[in-house]
Amino acid sequence: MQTLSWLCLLLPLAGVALLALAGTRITREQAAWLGTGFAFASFLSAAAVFFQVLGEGSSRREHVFTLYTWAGSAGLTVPLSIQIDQLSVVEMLIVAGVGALIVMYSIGYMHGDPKQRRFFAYLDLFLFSMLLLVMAGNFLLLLAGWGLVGLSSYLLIGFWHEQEAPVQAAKKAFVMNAIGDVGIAVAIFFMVRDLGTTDYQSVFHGAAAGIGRGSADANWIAIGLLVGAVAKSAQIPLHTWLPDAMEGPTPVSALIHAATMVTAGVYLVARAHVLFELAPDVQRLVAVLGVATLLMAGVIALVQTDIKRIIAYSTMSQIGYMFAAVGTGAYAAGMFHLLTHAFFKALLFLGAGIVIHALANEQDVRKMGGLSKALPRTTMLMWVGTIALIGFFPLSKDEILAGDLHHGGGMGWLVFVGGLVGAAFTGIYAVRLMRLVFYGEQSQHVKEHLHAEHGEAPWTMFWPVAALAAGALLSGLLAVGFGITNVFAEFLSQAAPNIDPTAGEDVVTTLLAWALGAGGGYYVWRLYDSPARVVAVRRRFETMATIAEAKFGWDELYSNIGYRPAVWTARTLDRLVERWVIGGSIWVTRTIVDTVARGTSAAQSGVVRQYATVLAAGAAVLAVYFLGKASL
Amino acid sequence: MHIGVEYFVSLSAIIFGIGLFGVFTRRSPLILLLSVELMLNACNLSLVAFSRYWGEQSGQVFALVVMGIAASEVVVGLGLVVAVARRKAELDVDRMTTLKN
Amino acid sequence: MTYDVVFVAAALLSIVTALAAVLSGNPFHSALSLIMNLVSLATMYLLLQADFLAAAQVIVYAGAVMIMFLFVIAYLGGRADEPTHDTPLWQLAAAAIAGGAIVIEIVVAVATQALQRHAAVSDQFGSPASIANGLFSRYLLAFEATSILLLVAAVGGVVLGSKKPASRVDEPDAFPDRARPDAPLELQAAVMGAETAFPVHHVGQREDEA
Repeated sequence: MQTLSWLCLLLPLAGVALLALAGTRITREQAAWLGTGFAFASFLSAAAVFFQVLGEGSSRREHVFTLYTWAGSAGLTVPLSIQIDQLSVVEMLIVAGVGALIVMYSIGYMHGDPKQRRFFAYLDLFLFSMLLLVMAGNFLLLLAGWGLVGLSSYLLIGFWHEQEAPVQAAKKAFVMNAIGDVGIAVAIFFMVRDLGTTDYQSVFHGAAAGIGRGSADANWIAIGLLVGAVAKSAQIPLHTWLPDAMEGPTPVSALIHAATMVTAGVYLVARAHVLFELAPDVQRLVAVLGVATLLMAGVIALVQTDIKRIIAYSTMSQIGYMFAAVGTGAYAAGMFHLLTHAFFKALLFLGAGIVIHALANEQDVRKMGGLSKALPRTTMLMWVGTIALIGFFPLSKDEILAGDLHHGGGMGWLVFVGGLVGAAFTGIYAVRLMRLVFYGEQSQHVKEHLHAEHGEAPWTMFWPVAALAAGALLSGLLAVGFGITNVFAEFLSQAAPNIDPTAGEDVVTTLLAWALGAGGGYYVWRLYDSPARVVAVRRRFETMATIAEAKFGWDELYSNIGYRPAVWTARTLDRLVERWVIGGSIWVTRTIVDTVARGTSAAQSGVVRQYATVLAAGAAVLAVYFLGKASL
Repeated sequence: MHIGVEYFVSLSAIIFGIGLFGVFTRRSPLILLLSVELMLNACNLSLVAFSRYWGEQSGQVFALVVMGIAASEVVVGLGLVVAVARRKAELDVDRMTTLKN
Repeated sequence: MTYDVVFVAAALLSIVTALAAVLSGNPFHSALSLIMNLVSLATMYLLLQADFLAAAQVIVYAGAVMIMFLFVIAYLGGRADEPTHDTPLWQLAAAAIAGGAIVIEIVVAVATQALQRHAAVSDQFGSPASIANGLFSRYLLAFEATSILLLVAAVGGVVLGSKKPASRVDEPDAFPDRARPDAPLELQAAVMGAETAFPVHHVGQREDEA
């Protein structure tokens, strides 16, 4: 198992090295298939590890493999170690599995792009980073993976760096993620100070005694980790980078900004749940942020017109559910939603990618319409994703809400009610997307650019999407709901506990969520039958819609409190300090040197003999001086 | 009369002074180089004289090093003289003032 | 006694030849005088028991280095002569005073010291073996530095000697300050700018064109 685990981690890295070293010696197609091959090999290793973990007794499912001591210092030893347990093996499967499918999809999507080789190297680099993040055996290695996924995300968002927008988006994402990295670093500092170790096992076992429940240090550690989680998972208040990140290629959006990286925050909270339970206030904050994000993102998704941004806000909203779950102690439910979400959100993104591909890179849903005839298979797959997103099946969202209903108390009800409202929003924006893109009249743009004879998509693009659809539906069987045995939660129970609702609560929640989702979906389906009614509804909610279109003003807020003061400070410093203090001192120095040089340059006649004379005269004078001194 | 080190050093000083005089007065770069050679040799003489005086051979070793330096100087100096002579008709150090100011 | 006679003779010879080398108007005579000077100094070295150095002085210095001088003088021919216009008398006087001052200072300095030591040395003093011993052990660094200096000088000499002369005074100047090419300047400058990495100097318009 040890070898397989390291293989799973290092195969993508080997792919990066190979692709980087091979350069142009291999063709673009070879590079693409090579990248895909390494990703699939990594997935096979992950699957093998999973079955080995599954085959063991439930008591011995935690393995720490240490390669060597990575960093040693006085009283602190950080080994280069990976931890394989139920939680990380689930994440490994998601990352390597969904990752491999999306890398394969990219073969078709990126076909003909001159930078294809680099793209696949970046994708493999991301897979390695993400696997490092989920497999790390201590917090420092986790931070290394955390930073590396930030880097590969930056590289991939800004992949089309010839254009302005992707570069800006990449910078934004990188800066926001860096804030999160700092948060985790601070948390690690506290751990080292209080516990003298960063190993998961030692930290979790020693935390209760070494830090203490509800103590200031416990709160600081939890807040530091929360900042990291919030930044990576695009939750309020560090969420503004995610919609902009859609400037990257669509497979990147699917892989990094839907299925894997953005859910790392959820994984972190579930992984470090021991630490969060020591700081109940911070854990409540996790849930509150999750609910706030899921509602806000749901509202913004209602008014977006860019197909990828709709899905991006939907992603934020769904991660809000996961945060709400892990914030109230339903870790397994949160992880289960993470799993199903990885499938159906990647499916939606890749489906959207097929649509964008077919319409010559058009992303505005208002310019689409009536595509169901041209793209019947894509439509079908997108419906599967939509059904999963709204929560008809799998019932991962209802699992969270039922858990919180069972949890009770203020937090439980907040999550329960907020989640149900969010379910209605989900139904509305998900069906609105399907309605606008695949049904109704074909727009002028569609008529011009859609070429039926091209077929829907190459098989390398279609089959990964189909596999994801199958995964989305089959993963639902792991926890059917309605009180039927929750296989998934049982498997995870040691690494990430769960709140098990009663069958009654489960049924009630599910029925309510179905009703709200279906109601919202049906409403919006009918609404778009007549444009006049759309306008009327829009007019009735004018204020709300304006706020939503302004994305609740977060960007302006950050611009006003961060960017503009910084620019003002820089300009002021430039005007005052740079120009007068620094420039002035340089001017003074220059003037002095210049004047002295001009005065003395007259002595530089260029006549060598003159120099020699002066030299000899100086020597003679010095000799007189020394003679006089010696004779005295 | 015992010929002590002071005689050698005085002779060395005289030759040095003659070389210095040459450097001051002559304008042909070739004679200038010759004068410099003269000065270097005067230095060598005092090195050797003091070497004998102290019974220590370091002075002779460094006289050898000075010879090497003088040879290098002659190579570069003569090369410059030839290069200048190829470009300009007149070989006059007082008129080679390109580095003025 | 012989020692004293040899010293006086060699000293007188060295002073006379040095003066001849510096004062002669003919560079050939100067160089030949210098050779004689070097030989008389070699005699001094012998008196000082620096046998190896004396041999080196004659073979390397008087033999090789000075021959190079003579070659260059022969190559330059008449142009090696002193420029016609003479140095003013006051300059000669000033030079004599400056040179004389240093000589007198040194003589005074050695005369006022009681330099009475007469170190006893073995027969091996100044022999090639003992010189080599010092040169290759204690002063190896100085030796290596000198050899590198010689190498650099050799390379420099080759570079200086082999470079194609840019121009002579009687030929049109290769780098004109004022003279301008006849072709349209902008076009030529543009072509030069495109073909070479060197900056192109734009010369101002001539008055009669403006």
